[in-house]
Amino acid sequence: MRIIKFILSLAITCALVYTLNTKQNIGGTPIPPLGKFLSPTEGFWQNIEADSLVASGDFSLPGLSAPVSVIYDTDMIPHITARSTEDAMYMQGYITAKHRLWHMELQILSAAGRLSEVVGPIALESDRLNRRKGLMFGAENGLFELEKHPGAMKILESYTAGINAWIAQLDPEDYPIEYKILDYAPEEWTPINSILLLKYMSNNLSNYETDLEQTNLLKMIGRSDLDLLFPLKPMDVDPIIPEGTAFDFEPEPVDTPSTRFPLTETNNTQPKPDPANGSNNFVVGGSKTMSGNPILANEPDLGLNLPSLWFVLQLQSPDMNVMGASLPGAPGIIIGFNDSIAWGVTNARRDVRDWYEVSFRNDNREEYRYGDQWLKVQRRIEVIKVRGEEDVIDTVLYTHHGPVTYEGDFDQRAGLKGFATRWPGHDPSIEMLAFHQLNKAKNVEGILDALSNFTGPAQNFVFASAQGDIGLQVTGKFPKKWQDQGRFLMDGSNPEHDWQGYIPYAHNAKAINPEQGFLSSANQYPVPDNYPYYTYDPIYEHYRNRRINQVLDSLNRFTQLDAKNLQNDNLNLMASDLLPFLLDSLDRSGIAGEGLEILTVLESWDYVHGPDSEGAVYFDLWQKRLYALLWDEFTDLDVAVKRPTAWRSIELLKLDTAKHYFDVMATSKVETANDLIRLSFDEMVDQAAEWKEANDRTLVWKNYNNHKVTHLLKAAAFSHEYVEIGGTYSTVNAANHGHGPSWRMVVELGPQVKAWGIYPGGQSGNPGSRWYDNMLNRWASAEYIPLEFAPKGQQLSNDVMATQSFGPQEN
Amino acid sequence: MLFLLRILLIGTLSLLSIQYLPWYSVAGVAAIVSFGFSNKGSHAFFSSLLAVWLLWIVMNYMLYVQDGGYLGDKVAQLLMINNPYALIVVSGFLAGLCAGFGGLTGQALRQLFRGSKRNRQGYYQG
Repeated sequence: MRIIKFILSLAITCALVYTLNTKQNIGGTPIPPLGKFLSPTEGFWQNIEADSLVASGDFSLPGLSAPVSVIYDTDMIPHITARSTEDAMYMQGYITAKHRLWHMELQILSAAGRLSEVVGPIALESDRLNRRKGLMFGAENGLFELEKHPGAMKILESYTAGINAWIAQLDPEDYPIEYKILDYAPEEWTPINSILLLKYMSNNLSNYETDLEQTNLLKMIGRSDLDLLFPLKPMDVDPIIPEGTAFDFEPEPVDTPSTRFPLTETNNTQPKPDPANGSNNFVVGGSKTMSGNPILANEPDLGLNLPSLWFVLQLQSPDMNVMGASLPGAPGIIIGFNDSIAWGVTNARRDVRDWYEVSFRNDNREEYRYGDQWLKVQRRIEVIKVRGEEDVIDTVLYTHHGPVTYEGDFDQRAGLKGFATRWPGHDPSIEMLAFHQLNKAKNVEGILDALSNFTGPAQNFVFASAQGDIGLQVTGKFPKKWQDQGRFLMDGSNPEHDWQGYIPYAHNAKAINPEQGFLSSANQYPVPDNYPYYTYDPIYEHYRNRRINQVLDSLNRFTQLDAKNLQNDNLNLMASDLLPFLLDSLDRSGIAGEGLEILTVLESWDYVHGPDSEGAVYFDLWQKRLYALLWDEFTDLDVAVKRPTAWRSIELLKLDTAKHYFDVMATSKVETANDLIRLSFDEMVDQAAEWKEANDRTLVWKNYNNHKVTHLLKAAAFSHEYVEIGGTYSTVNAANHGHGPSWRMVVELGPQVKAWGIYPGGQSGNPGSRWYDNMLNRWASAEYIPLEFAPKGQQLSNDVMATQSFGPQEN
Repeated sequence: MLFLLRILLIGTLSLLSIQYLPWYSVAGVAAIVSFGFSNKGSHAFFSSLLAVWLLWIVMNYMLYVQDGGYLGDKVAQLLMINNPYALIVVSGFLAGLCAGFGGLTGQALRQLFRGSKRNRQGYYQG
């Protein structure tokens, strides 16, 4: 009897402890190990910071070669001063890990296809896809190439050592709260992680191709309709490199084959990056600025999450003094300035990922057809560890084109076919060296030299120098293509469909000190007609860029305030292009009540997407309904397609061509453009009424758009919604429902550099820190923080919050 | 009185043990104390439960106040409890429950030894 009592209570104790010390899953909701998570000494309570996070003090670290000072300003931006570049990079790694460890490691787990190790089978498909995409394969090639450059490799190794020095001194109770919620531990950082991070970004930014969708459309609607709906560029194009720019080089020849594209249909294609990913940058030369100094501005528009994507810091060593936004996980500054130059990037839209149909010899899939021979397939075994379950093993086949992403059971492709992807991201490349050289560049020549090492993701680099030069270069490794090459699925067995090499770096489109006195880019069509190489992309931007150029053109005594106003400009050119036409064409018979009120609002609307604008809501609803009705032919199809762009839809409506698409298929009537406009107006009126019915808030832009900044775990407690900001994807301030300006920066060069920046979050990745989201509201209300740039050889003296000294650890 | 002393002893030893050992060491502490001091099962259970429950409440509440409730409020929302004080009370109860059963186990073990001694006596007598 007593033995039973003992065994029973022992068993209950063990079961309780085990249950409370293990991550649970209740009805699909993951629950952290509550005993551990809520314990005062191990749990989330150890993540409270109050004001203790960045106390001043003296510390010692293994691996430093000389003392380093870290001064935090009141926005918690660290200013690192070291006696060597290696020590500065070491400290960048250490400090970044201190504030952003979870976030930087999570990106790596995602890129490497290892999320399932942490979150279980829910991430399996995403893991498989990232492995099928060959991101790690690309990173391995990148590391191999970087190892040939000892200087750059040393930088990466120092950065890695810094991260690991931080991780090594952590006890489990010190782990960032997300590790405790998900119940796992950080790993040692390795140099390949940093390269993988850049490949991951590259994949997110250069993956917009619609080759398979265009192939489906070519088969479905034929070539002439395809050209009608998907022209190469807008009619009133305003290219990145201004009209009139001369290209004084002899272009390399490209041979156009006479062979056809395979017309293989595809049902499902890979998910695409958010089409709203885009950016703006501009630079105004001294001839147009009030001070006579160049002013540069940049803001990358990306998914807005917490912890924030960027980490701002200053890095100073005897041969470097640079400040700006870094990507946690990559050494150096990605977007920023030093005492001599400033630079910024926007994503260069150019289709650099192509698909090849591969024909295997037989079911063994060990050989594939190429010309008149059979080539060997390489196999890469991917073992995906899944938390709480058995490992999943996937074999990815590699051809000379690249990994066969679509094949076999991955997408139920029947027969002996597969689709291989060709992408420069898989090739050896040394972006890290490019950024390192850029961080140290002194003038335009130095910038252009640095950028010659930049492969991708292709970016429009805008830059300025203290000497007064301004410039913009479409930078990346671009295959030289014949007309339509890579626009559609290509024949992988036909050597004539292979890429014929790359556009030489010197032939990349660029403009330096143009007569107009300014340059800008916003993901639009890149080049004027005289550029001698074929360029193609399925989704060019067409509104932000023209608005920026409109403003820059109109201002002749430009100041940093003008730059800030322009970055926060909410005027929607899509609305000023489209709305007057809609209002003119609208058949108003029988419109009464709410419809009439909405019409009045729209007729007096100034096209500005302010937070409290009502007109912005009606316009947005109206154009979305119109777009859906216009392209109803392309919804709910068995094959994957991509509908025409908004700018082309507006052109077609105005031109009144493509009439056979105006018909709404669900009705027996044959609709005209005017019918569509009235139908969509009525639908908009209904939707507005429905919205009001369903929501307690007033129907104005900020409530309808509901701008969110969401924690990466989608935890509402760590996220923000209904952020008070205007803008939409086609305004320069492209804040759009959880997406938008991830880092705004304005730099005025000259004898003394002046710079400002802001981003929707904060320097700390810890939801328990006051610096986790302290910049969010200032960002929303168009405020900036001054980027206190300590001049060379000096240390920051203004707005100091804490001063820390790190010395080498005695062994 | 003895009951209060036990609470004090278990609470103090638990406070020490969680500085160096995992949180569930409180179950071990409760077991050892209950093994060492003879008592009824219910006393062992409730003294252990109350000791650790109170320890958790005091420690977590102090941390909560020190932080101005900043993170505690967020975590309460994260765990869909929405009330930080309820969070503090519930988390203490969970740890206390582990300690309670730990205490019961220690008491039962003591009974087991006592019992076997008595049995041995019985054997010799018989």
